[in-house]
Amino acid sequence: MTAIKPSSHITEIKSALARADVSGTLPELPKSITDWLAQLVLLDGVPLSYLVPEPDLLPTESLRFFYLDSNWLRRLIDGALSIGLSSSLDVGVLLATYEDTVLESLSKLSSVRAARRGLTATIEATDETPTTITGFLLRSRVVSGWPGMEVAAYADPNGRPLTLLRLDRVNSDIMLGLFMGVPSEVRFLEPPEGLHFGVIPQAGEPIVYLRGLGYGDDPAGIQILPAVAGPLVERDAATGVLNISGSVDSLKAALKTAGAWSEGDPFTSAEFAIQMTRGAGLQIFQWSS
Amino acid sequence: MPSIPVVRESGTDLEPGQIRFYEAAKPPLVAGEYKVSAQQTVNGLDDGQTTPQYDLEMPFSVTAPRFTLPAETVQMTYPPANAAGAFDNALANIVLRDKTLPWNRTLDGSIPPEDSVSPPWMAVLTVTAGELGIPDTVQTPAPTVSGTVRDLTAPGTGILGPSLTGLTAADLSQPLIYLDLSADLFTAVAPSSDDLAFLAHVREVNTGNKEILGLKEQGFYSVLVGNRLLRPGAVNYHFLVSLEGFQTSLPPNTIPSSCTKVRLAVLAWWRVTATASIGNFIEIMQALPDTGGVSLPATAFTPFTGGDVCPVSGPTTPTQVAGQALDLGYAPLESTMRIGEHATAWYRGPAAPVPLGKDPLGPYLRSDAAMRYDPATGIYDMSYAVAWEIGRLLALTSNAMAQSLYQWRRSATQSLLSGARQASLHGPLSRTTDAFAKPTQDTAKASRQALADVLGSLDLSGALVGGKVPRRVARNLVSPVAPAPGLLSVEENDRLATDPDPLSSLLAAVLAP
Repeated sequence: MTAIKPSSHITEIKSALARADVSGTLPELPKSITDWLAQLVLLDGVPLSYLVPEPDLLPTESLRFFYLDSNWLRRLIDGALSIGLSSSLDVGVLLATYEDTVLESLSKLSSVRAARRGLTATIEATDETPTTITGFLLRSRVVSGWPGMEVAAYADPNGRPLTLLRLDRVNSDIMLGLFMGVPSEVRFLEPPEGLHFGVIPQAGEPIVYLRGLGYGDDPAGIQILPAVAGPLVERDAATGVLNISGSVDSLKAALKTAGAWSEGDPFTSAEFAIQMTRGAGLQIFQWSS
Repeated sequence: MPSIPVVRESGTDLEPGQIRFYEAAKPPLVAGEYKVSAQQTVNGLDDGQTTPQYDLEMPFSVTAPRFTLPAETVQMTYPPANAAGAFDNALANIVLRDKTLPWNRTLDGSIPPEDSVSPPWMAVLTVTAGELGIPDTVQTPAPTVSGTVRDLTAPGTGILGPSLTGLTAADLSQPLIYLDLSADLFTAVAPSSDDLAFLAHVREVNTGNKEILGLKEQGFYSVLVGNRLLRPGAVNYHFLVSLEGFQTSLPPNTIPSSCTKVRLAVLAWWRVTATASIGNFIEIMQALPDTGGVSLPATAFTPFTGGDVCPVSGPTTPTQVAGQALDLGYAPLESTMRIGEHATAWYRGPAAPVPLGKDPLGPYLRSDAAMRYDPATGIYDMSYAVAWEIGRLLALTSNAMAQSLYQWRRSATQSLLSGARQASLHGPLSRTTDAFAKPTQDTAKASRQALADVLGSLDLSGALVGGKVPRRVARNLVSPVAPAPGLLSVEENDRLATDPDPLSSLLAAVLAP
């Protein structure tokens, strides 16, 4: 048996497998495999200590944005596909179909999260191969304190949203988010499902930021800018019981100073509700590319 | 992103997602006993003297929920019942489907003047489990007591009940649930009579195509708001109570000293766990740069090709080398080499602070091939080798994945073999070049040769022609990986270099960096 020139061999394998009479009967890669690989690429199951090898890289109360290393992800796929290689023919099949397998898995990334949310039908896997996957690791009390926190990433100032590939708590206080593409703005939004009445503690005193009431030049329901604090009155600071009628007088005085209310304009429970409705906190991280 | 005002002034239609607040929704008549009187006077009778007068009275009553609420009345509560979270600095509220309900009655049972809005007759009281004297868990049995209206109006000595009017005997035996609060606690947490008017309002919402404030339907809802900020680190109980008949007991009035408790009819109640105060969402987020720090992605998009740790033409001092590696997200970890030596190796997870280009290498068939060696420093970079091992371990832990991969590969090799047999019997079924040429002995032979190439060390060409069972050529392959310092022994390297096995040369060619 003669030795085959190494340099030409891989080409021959590929060309032979590319021929219809040989590879036409190759069964299609099952969806379950590419689905699984897509989850793997999104670091599903990768232990936290392998994402953050040193605790010092992610201290408490920190936020780290990062790029996903595509080479690292390919090695992850290499390892996963390496199981059960029992013959050189298997190796040939693996080598010949490797690139297609990887590309097909990557094209499914955007449907992984959708599928988990039960939205398989609405979001189709795109053909375009992702160029860059980015993400963040947030280690903070907000992760444990606000379980429904929303995260949105935008590619440019025009607000083109990036697909959220993954948003999971990997630990009680560590959140991992992955985006398709490089964001120029990432927004962290306090869970809005509880739009409710509340106050903002400022130096131990409860305040609200005043909103317009439709009197004067201030449109109703829009926060007066620059922000004007409306102090509230507590009946007893120890119990947190508010003196509502006292607070109403205090809000009226602050609104009057801000020019958004004047004596004679009504101030009823409706106006009070507008002032006390607490908007969801929004923290934006922005940078220019 | 466009922002639409969520509050709309009157006289306009609400757009989806908007909300309009009203002071109150007054019922045409508050609950109570009424009568319609008709009076007819007849004038101009023949006798010119008498003007007979006829009277008719028809009594009727306007009813409204008083001691209990129909189950479907409550639309939602905030915080959600039995939820746990950072609810400090929030006020509890309850949304009712019946828009006039809070104004259907008055505190003292009187009929309010036509042009005024009476304060609501119900309120949300917030008290903690500790203040109620019950265990601080949500598993505690309900703190309320089931009884009848009679228990409320005649509570017994030392307990202050509401002074109610217009109750019939049938009313008195109606079931309800009530709560006994200590008089001091009631005085501390109950809203004052001036406060009450500000603690109820009506919302009109157009939920459009999204859910807003938990309201799934469009229309009007009445909302009752608590007057007490939730206490952190405790189970907070919220009671929607009827204050009818307590008009003289609300702060700043005091409870008569002969009473130590106040008995309230509870229309609805729920409890939540407010976790220990951790502060304000925005404050914590804004403090991130000062505490653990915020690192934004490197902005200049100049991919590092190949993910090299330390370019030879770069930093020269050890400090520089280490500094650059750390900047690139590497962590120095201890590594146990195969020969037993302990060394320091670089490791970086998939998260890199800088954008990285795709290297042309791989796929690797074993993790050792993915190790990187930096000859300048003599330090290995284990990142990709670790990634490879994790991928393999994860695949092995997934039964479904391992099985379907194995089955797919098996059917792939079988279809390759059957394709090869077909080719040997009938010639190629189709060809990428010279598609219309008649199959000849030559093309069939070429096809078999190509397949033999495909199948590597399996000498299938003989088997296909002669019908012999293919026999595996013995191999002395140790490792197909290109020699890397410290990985293979000298003997192994020599053997690898002289190995006549075509598979080993094939893999060496594929895998050589």
